[in-house]
Amino acid sequence: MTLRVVPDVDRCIDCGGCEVACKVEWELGHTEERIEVVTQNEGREGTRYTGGESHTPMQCYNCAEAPCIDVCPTDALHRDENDLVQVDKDLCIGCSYCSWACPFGAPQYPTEEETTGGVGIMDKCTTCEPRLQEGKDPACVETCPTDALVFGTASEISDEMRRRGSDTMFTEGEQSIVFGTGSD
Amino acid sequence: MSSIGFERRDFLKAAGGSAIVAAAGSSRVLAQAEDGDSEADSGTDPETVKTICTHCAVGCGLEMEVENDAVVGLKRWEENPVNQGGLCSKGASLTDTVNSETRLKEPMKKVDGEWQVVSWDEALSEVAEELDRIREEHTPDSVMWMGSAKVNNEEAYLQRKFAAFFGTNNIDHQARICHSTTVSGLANTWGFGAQTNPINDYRNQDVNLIIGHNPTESHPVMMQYPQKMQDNGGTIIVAEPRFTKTAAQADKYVRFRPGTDTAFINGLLYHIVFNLEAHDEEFIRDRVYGWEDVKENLRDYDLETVSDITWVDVEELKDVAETLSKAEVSTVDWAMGATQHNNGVQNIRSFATLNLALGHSAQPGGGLNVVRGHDNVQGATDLGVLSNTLPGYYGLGEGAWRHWAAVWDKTPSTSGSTSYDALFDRFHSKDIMEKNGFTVSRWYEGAHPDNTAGEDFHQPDPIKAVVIWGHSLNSVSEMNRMKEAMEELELIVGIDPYPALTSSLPDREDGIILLPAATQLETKGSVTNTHRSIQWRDQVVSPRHNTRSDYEIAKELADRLGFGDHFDYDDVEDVTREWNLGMRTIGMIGQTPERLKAHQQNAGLFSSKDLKAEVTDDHELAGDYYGMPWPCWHDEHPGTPILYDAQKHPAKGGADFRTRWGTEGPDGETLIRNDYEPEWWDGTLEGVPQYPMWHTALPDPDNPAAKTIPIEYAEREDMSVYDAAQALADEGYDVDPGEYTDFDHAQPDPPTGRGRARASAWNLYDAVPVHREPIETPRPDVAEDFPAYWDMEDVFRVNVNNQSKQTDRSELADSHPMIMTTGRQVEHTGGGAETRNNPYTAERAPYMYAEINPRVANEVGVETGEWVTVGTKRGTMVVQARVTDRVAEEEIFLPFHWGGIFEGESMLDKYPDGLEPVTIGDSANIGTADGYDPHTMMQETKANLAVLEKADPGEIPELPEKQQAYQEEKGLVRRPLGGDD
Repeated sequence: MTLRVVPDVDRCIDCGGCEVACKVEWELGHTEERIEVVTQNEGREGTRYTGGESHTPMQCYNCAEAPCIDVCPTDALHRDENDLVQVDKDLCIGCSYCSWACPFGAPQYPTEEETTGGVGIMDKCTTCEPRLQEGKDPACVETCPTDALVFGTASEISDEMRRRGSDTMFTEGEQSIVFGTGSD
Repeated sequence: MSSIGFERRDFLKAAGGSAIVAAAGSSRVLAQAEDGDSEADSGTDPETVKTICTHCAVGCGLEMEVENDAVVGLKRWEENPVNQGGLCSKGASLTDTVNSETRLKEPMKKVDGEWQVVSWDEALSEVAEELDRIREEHTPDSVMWMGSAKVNNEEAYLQRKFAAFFGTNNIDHQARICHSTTVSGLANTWGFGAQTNPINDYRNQDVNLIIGHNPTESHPVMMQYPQKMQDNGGTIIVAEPRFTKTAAQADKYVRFRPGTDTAFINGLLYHIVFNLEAHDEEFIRDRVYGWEDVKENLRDYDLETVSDITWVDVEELKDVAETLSKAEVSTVDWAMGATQHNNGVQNIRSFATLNLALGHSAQPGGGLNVVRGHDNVQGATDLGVLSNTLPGYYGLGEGAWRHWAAVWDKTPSTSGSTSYDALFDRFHSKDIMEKNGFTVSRWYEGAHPDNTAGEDFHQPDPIKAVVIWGHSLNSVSEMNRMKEAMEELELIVGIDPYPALTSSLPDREDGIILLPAATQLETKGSVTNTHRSIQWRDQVVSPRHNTRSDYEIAKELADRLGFGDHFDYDDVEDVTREWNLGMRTIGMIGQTPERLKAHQQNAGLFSSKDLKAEVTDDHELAGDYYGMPWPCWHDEHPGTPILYDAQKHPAKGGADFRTRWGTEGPDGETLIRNDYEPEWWDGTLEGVPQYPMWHTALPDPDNPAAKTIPIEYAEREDMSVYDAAQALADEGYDVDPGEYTDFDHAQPDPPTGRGRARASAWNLYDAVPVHREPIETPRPDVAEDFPAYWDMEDVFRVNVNNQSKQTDRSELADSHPMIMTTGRQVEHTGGGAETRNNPYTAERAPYMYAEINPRVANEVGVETGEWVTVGTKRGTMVVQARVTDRVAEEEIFLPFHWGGIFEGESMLDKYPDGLEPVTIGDSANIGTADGYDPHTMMQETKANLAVLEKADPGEIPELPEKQQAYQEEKGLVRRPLGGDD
């Protein structure tokens, strides 16, 4: 029943609404990117799958088999009571192992505090957990004008993507990390 | 559920539902959700106020969160049928527009090179005294007024009315350099110069040819509708010199040479008409005038010729033409890429010709989608903040002045009385009163030190003062000449939320007064989006700091200039009622403040598919279309979502092509449509002229949206045009019913008649669309066959020398081998004063750049982030390189939102202390070309010749610290390893 925000890459137009909504909601500074749109093959014709230009909003997917939790030496990374992957900043030592483990670049190190690892405390998307408590969607999902961010449980996401006829952006390997082995 | 019926609203509801269901699995959330005391929590929720985004003309609704009269956040407004809650980076950052630290907070005056804070009273008095002095010592035309597409309808209307009472037509605004060529091109085709269909209607298109428009950057939130159209099996073709983000979303992309739009379209038409014979003969026969002229003209545009001009392969031309001809219904969609050319009007006329030829006009999924730029540029255009017309496109003839004199005399909204004679006395002469004024694109010629009155510009005296009331100077081309002219003026007044380039462009020690305007979140009023829907903005918070709304400033200044009795409104809504009374031509009549507010409060009742209220027949909003897109002829009319759509009853939003040019052309051919039998009417409808006095008869001024005789009789099923003329004559109006005896068929009509679209327009410089080469061209051989317009004198008070410039520059490509073009970035709006000062948008797009093809970058020896110079005959910009496949090897692309650096020199020290922009960059419009469309004085910014070089280290300007940090974060610049501090 893990909730996650997953991109529909066919629809993202790189307008930046999600990035700004996230920053305004959580009062983040310019070095803090909990969601960031990544552009590939700029200026090239074709689809994402044929080498054409595409835009992908990247953030934490609350992976079913979260590699970041596996590698975190201090258990700063953990699942909260709603099954969302969260970081306990008091426990984080800034070793940056999670950034090596995460296939999606979700872990960020915006601060320059002294840490054991020297890169600063890790920060990432929280799936807008406090908003979920209020029954609201994540700010990025609500803001995205082209509905390029799909939010829900694994089956809700797959139903929605199927309804749209959109392809998943994940490779088979990534798919099993995000949704768990045996997922469709 | 099928994707066809699925809306963004539904998607969010479904997602929200899942959040609650899923969250219910957590005991903590469950406990909170069922907590009976949760009202205590919601009681602490901030108050929300509905407003409309102040950036682009999509008109996205959003709700600002307010605590103690301060903006503390924003909420998505999902019920709004225009954006359904979605926002782009600009809309999502609106909180920081109001709360900006670098806003202009106090009235300021430049004295001996220093900025001083002054009181409102002192500033307004000095401005009024100086303007009065200049008016007396010279003429009223020695003051230029630059109005704004960034103010609401009520304020835009006051700006135009203000200039009229000051006694000048030297008033203009951004629409001049935005869609003036569209307005002229379309109004001359079928009656009105506006977008024909709502953006919500994109879903019904079969093919959309997007040419010179990059909606993913300029209008990102509307992209949900083209995507919806693709979901429904439609095809998007992007034809554009540059592979834009929109091209990446398209089904087909065609790259063509900048400045050859008309040739491209004529080539498509050649194939459609002569080879495929796919044009719609029935539609042309019934509803179009002048088709034979089109066919004759097309013979010059065989596919090989067009391929040579445009650099598009013949096979590609054929493919696009065939896709269009197979479409059940298609549209053309454009913006500045098509309008800003020396033959911009003809570009737009060619799009209209294509649409008419295919028979795709005036219906769902068809028509022409001209997407306007600024949030209220449609409204400010409609309300005539333009040097060639009074509000409502009435023009400047004596009849127009008499109409508005009557409105300004009779309106109960103000206390003053006036008359045609009283207004006439405010002007220098009848000639000047009826003569087009200077435009924002060329106003500085009236003040330039090289120029002489009567030779280089055409009014009695030079311009001595300029009032820049919500305009970014860096959106105007020939910035060097404008800067030189500004250094000659006696007074510069800036009225704006930011000091902007008004404070920093001219090198001068004094003579600049800045009045801090409130943002549109700190005032209330109506705003017209790109598809003519009018939305009401509530006031979110009171004006911050010592700022005042443009409405208040207009009232104060009018009072000090001696015509305050025409501006003594009790409330903003009284201004709305006044334009309801006067705006007869385009039916900005039925959108009363009460109805506008009812639409805002009930936005969720309107369909996001066709904007129609989804209510029972007895509901007060039954039949209404959201925002009552004009024309909305009276207080019970629903608005007109699709212009010229004859398949609806006129009382239910139907219309027809206007019979605007009489019932017969100069060649004797008819201008009224053929009879037809629509499904909604039992019998035949005939073509008719416009109803007599439909745009001049006034209702009781206390009830400005009531039906007048012509409006009532047009709509009635049992009355004819003749009956209307008879009724007017009976009421004592000067109408001769005898002129209308041919039109005595009782039937319901729009007041604008049932006429024909003009494929051939005899009053334009080219009756049918002719390709005209840019004045700076890499193909001087093409210019010999398709030259720019001949030189002309005294057009909008200046001379236009396109052809002699083009001839003089036939070898320019030898020294300036690159084609330079300009455009937008999604994070910035217009001149960028707001968005370059907003930390969220500024950090996302932190540099002014030139896009360069990788092969060219390799030759020049630069990487992204390194500095280059881009030089044209007008000036040399020093900017950072952005190496990308978006541009072809022949081209350079510059965004035009930047200022604060001028030809490599930082201007930061010229801003008031503490109000320096967060991010700065050189201005693209220093370099853009000095060709102009003589129909409207549109600047030719999209096709220029330039030379690109690597910048010397000594030429590189210093950037503000924050901007450097943003650039570092984006990886554009790197600090040396190991740090340097």
